[in-house]
Amino acid sequence: MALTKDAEPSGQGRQALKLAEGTRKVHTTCYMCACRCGIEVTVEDEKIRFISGIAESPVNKGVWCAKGGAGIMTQYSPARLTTPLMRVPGSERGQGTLVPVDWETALNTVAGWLQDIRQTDPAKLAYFTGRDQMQAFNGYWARQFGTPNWAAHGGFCSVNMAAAGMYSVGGSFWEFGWPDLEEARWFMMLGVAEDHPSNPLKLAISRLKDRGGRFVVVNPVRSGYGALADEWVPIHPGTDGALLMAMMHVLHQEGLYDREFLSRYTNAAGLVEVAPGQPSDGLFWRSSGQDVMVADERGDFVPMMEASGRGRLEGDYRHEGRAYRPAFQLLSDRLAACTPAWAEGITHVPRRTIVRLALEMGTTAMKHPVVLPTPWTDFYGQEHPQTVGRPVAFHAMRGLAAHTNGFQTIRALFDLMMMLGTIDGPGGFRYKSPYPKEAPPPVTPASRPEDYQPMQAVAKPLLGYPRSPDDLLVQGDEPMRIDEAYSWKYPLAAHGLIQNVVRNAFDKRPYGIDTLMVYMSNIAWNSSWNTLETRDMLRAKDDQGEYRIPHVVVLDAFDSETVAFADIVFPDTTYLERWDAASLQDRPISEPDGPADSIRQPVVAPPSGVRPAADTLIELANRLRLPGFVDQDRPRYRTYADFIQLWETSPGSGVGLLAGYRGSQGTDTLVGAPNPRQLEAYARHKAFWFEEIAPERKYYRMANRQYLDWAHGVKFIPTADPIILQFYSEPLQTFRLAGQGLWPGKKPRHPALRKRLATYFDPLPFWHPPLEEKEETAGSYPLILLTQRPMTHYHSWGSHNAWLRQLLLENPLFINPQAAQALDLCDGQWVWMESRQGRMTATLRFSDAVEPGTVWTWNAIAKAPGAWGLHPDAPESQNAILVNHIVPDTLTSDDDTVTFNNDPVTGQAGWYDAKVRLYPSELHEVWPKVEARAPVRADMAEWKSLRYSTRKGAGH
Amino acid sequence: MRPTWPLLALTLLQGLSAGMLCLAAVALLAPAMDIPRTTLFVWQGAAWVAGALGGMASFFHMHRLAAARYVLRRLGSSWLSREALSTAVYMIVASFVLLVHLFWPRDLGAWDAVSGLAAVLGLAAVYITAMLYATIPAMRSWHSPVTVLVFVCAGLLSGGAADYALVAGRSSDLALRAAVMGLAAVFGILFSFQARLFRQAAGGVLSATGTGLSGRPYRLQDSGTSRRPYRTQTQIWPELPARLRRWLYALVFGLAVAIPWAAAIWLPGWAGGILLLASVGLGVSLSRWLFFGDATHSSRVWFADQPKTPSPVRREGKRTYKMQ
Amino acid sequence: MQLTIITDLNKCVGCKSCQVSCKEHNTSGDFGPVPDHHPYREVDGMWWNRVISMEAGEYPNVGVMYLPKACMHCYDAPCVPVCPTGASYKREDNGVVLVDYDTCIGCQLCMWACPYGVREFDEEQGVVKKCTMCIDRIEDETLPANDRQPACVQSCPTHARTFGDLDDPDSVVSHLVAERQGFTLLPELGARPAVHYLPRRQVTGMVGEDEISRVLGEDC
Ligand SMILES: Nc1nc2c(c(=O)[nH]1)N[C@H]1C(S)=C(S)[C@@H](COP(=O)(O)OP(=O)(O)OC[C@H]3O[C@@H](n4cnc5c(=O)[nH]c(N)nc54)[C@H](O)[C@@H]3O)O[C@H]1N2
Ligand SMILES: Nc1nc2c(c(=O)[nH]1)N[C@H]1C(S)=C(S)[C@@H](COP(=O)(O)OP(=O)(O)OC[C@H]3O[C@@H](n4cnc5c(=O)[nH]c(N)nc54)[C@H](O)[C@@H]3O)O[C@H]1N2
Ligand code: SF4
Ligand code: SF4
Ligand code: SF4
Ligand code: SF4
Ligand code: SF4
Ligand SMILES: [Mo]
Repeated sequence: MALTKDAEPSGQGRQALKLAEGTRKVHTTCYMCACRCGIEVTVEDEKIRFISGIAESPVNKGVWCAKGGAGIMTQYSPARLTTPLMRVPGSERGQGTLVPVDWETALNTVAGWLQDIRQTDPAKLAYFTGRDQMQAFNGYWARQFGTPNWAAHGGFCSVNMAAAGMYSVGGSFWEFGWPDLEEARWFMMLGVAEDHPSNPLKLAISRLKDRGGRFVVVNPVRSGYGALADEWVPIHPGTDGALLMAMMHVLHQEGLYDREFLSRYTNAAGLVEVAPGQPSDGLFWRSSGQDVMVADERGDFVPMMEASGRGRLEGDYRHEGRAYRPAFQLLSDRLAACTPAWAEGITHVPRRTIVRLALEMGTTAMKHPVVLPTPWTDFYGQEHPQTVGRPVAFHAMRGLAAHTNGFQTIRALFDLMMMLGTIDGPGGFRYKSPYPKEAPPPVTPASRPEDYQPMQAVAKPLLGYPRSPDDLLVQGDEPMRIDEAYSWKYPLAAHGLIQNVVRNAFDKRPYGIDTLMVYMSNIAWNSSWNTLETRDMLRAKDDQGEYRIPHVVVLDAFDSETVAFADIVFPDTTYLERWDAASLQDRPISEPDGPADSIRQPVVAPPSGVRPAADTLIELANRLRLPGFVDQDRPRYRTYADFIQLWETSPGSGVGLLAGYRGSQGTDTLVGAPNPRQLEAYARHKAFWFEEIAPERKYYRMANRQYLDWAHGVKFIPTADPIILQFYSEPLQTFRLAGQGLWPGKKPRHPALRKRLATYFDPLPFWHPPLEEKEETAGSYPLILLTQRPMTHYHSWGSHNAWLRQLLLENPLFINPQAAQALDLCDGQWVWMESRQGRMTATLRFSDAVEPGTVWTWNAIAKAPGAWGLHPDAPESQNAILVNHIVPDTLTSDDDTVTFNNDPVTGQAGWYDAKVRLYPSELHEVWPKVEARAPVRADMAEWKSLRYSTRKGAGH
Repeated sequence: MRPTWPLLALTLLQGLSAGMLCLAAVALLAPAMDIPRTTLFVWQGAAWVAGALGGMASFFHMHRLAAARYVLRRLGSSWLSREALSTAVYMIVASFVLLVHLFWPRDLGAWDAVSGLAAVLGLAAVYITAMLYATIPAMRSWHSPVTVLVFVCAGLLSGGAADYALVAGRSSDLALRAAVMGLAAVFGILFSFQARLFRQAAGGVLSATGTGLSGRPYRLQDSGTSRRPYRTQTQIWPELPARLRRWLYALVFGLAVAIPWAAAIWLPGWAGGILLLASVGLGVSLSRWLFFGDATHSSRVWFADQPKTPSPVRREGKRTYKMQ
Repeated sequence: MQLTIITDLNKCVGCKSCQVSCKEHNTSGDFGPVPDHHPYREVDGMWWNRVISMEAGEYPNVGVMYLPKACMHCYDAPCVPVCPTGASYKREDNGVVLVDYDTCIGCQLCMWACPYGVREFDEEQGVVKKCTMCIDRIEDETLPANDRQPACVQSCPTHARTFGDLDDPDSVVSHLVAERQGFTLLPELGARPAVHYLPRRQVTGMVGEDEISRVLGEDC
């Protein structure tokens, strides 16, 4: 494997570096995780010496985390790839027999494969990206190429969270919205270990604590943030939906909910037709202007806009022989059965706790509002002299999302928040620009077969939010995408379904592909489930001895497990060596107070054999003459830096990747002509841009007339129309109708597919057990297996970092002592952990901070021996465990095709549904193990000591 | 704490040397013991060699000889400064003992005088060395007068055993034999006190950590940085498994008390002498190894990885729970 | 003057930012290096600030706590008088306890004497090292004001750490210690640490048991 001498602080022994004449401080954006904090990097003697937070940064406000500071050691990682690599012809894929090749050979080879694909069937390229922060660019690239088969990592990550939020309120938690802990008095966090906004969440919790706010954590495990909770609510995994429904039950029963908010800003008063068996069943009664009809206080039926929020929430109505009920009435009917006692049986949370917490949140919201002196005007034209907020905030993440009932659970959470009136008011959930968008955002994926033709760019975006079955990418029952996104099985797969790709490509279902291109995702290890089989599928051959996935191209900066499975590897720079944009077009770094974006700039020069991945992709695009990249055969962009500055969402739109310093003078913001010196301007301004929204536009933005006009002006939203919150999700009902055979447009044929739609596409939230519970063997695996993110590691990236790896290099399986004693297992014991997928060994560690029905460990600590530049004897491969080996990737299927262990609405991977049983192990070592390979840099793997200092100061 | 060889060598050899000189002085000043003067001189010579080796070992414990010249700077407060001084003075006087014997007229009594002085200084050096350990409140296992008594007794015992071995072939001096047997018995008693102290220390550290976390005792949940011992934290040393510790205690008693008694009673002559010395030497060394290696420092609790033994969180009886 | 760092355990989430920023600064600061052994194998490195995680109690009444632990800059620092060479000393002007690497002989006695296990030994250099209160930052007048505070205080994402003068009764740290029942570790060992911790403060709910029973329709 490739070797270089460029990237090391010092070799063995002591080597004090003198303080260089010119010490530089460079501002850029961190990429040790997805949080994207502003960092100041001190460079001495062309070596990175200190990384600290930028005080003015709207994201991290001067602080930085363990990963951020340890960026130094990532820069000097032993796993750095330093030249393009190619699998030795004739050697087997997966063994890591890669040799350096020159760039021209690598580019030519890949361009050749891609050219063939593009000329015949562009869908034969599958391009999937992982922890990617340039999705706008990557999506654009794939669109120009013409393949439907592109997505980032959302499918195995948290599409449930994104989609449920987008279909409910046109925003979500995560990068789309945020609990306002500056004003909240009561805060409930469900299923969060660390989450994307790492530093901002810590800063916010700190503010809540300063102000004496009450902090409730709902989580099977108490750790991290949970340690600070005033109350820990240990819940059995996969049951939060029941908890939330029961809380709504109590709020409803006690009248502790915001009726005015519901009828003014949500569609809860909308009249839903009750016509079982009819095509109009469950759809809103709409006015000729397509407005939802409501019954006003006089019992007249009027469009919602005319009723000015006076629509009734309850009742049974008939009009011209049709029966209608307000959406809220429908939910109330359902809530009647969702008693605290019912929920206690499911969640293992005592009913008294459920009632107490519901009363706390309801009372705080309704009886103790926060009042800001800011006037604002709503879309009905009513002026509010003050901004009144309900200071009850929530935050949730993968603990809800990563279950196969996650979509509906999160829908329940958003409906609960709507009931409490705590959407975008002070102290509640607050949008981050450019959100709110219409719920769901008015973008649908290109869904016709004609959209994907040889030598042609796709006219519409590849990903979006289907509004009805007609937007799905299906031909009959057959999916059109290799990942089955937008298929009948996973209709609202708004982020694509990366976790389905390898198996489908292996199965050649719906078709075989030619090239799998992977950027920044470790699919041969910690982001796959059923890992060992996945690895086998990556290297499987057909009868003729050809690989079933003929070509695998990997763009990575480090020698990950996946690199060993590549045929060609393009080495990427580190984040301290390239231009980048953290764009509003992508995943915003905005704060509730206003839009923000930032750049990365090269702090030090990359090793000579290394190029930024985006530059490589642009080079490929230029060689392939992809439409959006060439102008009459002349390349428009040579590098990603060009692209960042010059590209526009559509020609002349004035909207590009970066919103600050636009226009020829660099004086425009948000909309303005491209500025070829924009990056310089950012570099001069500490690498970020932030604009505060005017106070009267800051709150209730979905309903704030001035905000909507402004947001339309700056092209956040295509029209200034009100954004009505979707208490009742009509798009879901259209899918249900399709399942019932009642939808006039596309509908599935197979009964199993129909049943899925009819069951899970409920327009109102409900709780159902995770799909794993329906497996015949579910009873034999009584414990749920979870992972949590450690605050010090970002997925697989921590282990090649000499400092971070010291903080966590092996992971025991944490178990409640009561649960262990019931199984006669003791602390420190080696056990077999078996799921229906297979079994593996683990060492137990007792912890009372975990619910007895759950076992858990840290995510992505284990490494394949020799990967990541580590010595094959490193504890990460000798003592750490990767639970992905036994997380099942598929469910028992009702039809004749594979059914993945995904949420039936969005296709989100159901990581946290895995069920296991434990029993003593005679084997006292980690099992299974994969074959060892030589580390990229054997010399570094053998280093005896790492020590350096730049200064000779008082201490010496 | 990490029982490094220079520490073991320094403390053991210093004690041995002082012990041998002490017995020599006693024999010299109390002629009842009836040991030939040449034998006494051999004892003293051997003591000098032991002391010199111990002194040399101490240099290996210093990691920066360049700074050795500063070592006497804190005589006012540092028992280590005092140790350096006392050991040096002791060695100088011990050298005088030899020189005086060789070059000074016998009848002037000078030899007797310096021998006595050297013995006192030797005892003082052992005392100071022991005080170095005994005065550290953070070393929970050492912070006690027992440490001083054990050090002194171990020195006398090993010195006595060495002296005994050096004469055993020729003499059957009852007084010396009785002295060695007595010292072994006292050592056995002191060692059991020390063992008790060590167990108390290991249990006691949890009691007052002042963290404000309710419901002690608690369980440390770190992996990664809490993996001990740290190379860079020499005071953190893994706790011995209780079973092994019990075996080692028994071994110390066997080697330092039982076998010497048996040898002294039933095996006269060279064989007995050498067996006695070897046994005492091993026993005292093992006890010293345990002194360092099994000591509890107040910080250990902060770093201890979860021991691979049942949880320290005590509970009353088994409780069952509902698994679905 | 006695400089100190106060950590609010009501805010510390155990993120270890302070642990890494300490290493980050000091590795190339005036008192570095802060070495690592076998960095890419079974690694074992020097840290002047280590964050400890612990839990206590029985499910479900269990508490979890994180405790960053570096030099306490004790008033009666036991590490100082035991040092034979005077390499370990406590600065009179600001109470910071430091090690002069030039006079240290590496005997490690101070490591045993320190009750908190915060001193670490650099075998290669033969000296003992520990938290310096970032003296090279706080006294470096060429740095911008915001950077003239310990790295671990500056980086802490929850602002759990506060730096200041404990001898000044009007300082923020003094107020925190007085008003929030600041406590020290292992007080019985008599080192009188300057570094204090602030205990948890629980915010309780306001719903009564009878209220819950009423809603459930149960008898209390
Ligand atoms: N340091 C660090 N930060 C990261 C990452 C990282 O790897 N390291 N990864 C980033 C990525 S890609 C993502 S997607 C985010 C994810 O951020 P999080 O959602 O915070 O990530 P997880 O670690 O999956 O946390 C899931 C939490 O939910 C709990 N949980 C599991 N099941 C349930 C349940 O049924 N109900 C409830 N209430 N809780 C449950 C688990 O115990 C755990 O605490 O983090 C991002 N931030
Ligand atoms: N058991 C279990 N498995 C999980 C999860 C879980 O909670 N439990 N979480 C899931 C979730 S939410 C996610 S998002 C996935 C994440 O899983 P992945 O998307 O696989 O993320 P990483 O492991 O971080 O791997 C990303 C790759 O990016 C590479 N990389 C790092 N920096 C750069 C760079 O600058 N340039 C380039 N080109 N490459 C770089 C790394 O070398 C690595 O190979 O894991 C999933 N897997
Ligand atoms: S939170 Fe993420 S982006 Fe921010 S400093 Fe830490 S690693 Fe960097
Ligand atoms: S940085 Fe702050 S929150 Fe993180 S471990 Fe240190 S003190 Fe605790
Ligand atoms: S190791 Fe250095 S600082 Fe510590 S006591 Fe010895 S000489 Fe003093
Ligand atoms: S904490 Fe330890 S090293 Fe620091 S001053 Fe106190 S005794 Fe000395
Ligand atoms: S004050 Fe400086 S040296 Fe001390 S722990 Fe904090 S960062 Fe480390
Ligand atoms: Mo993720």
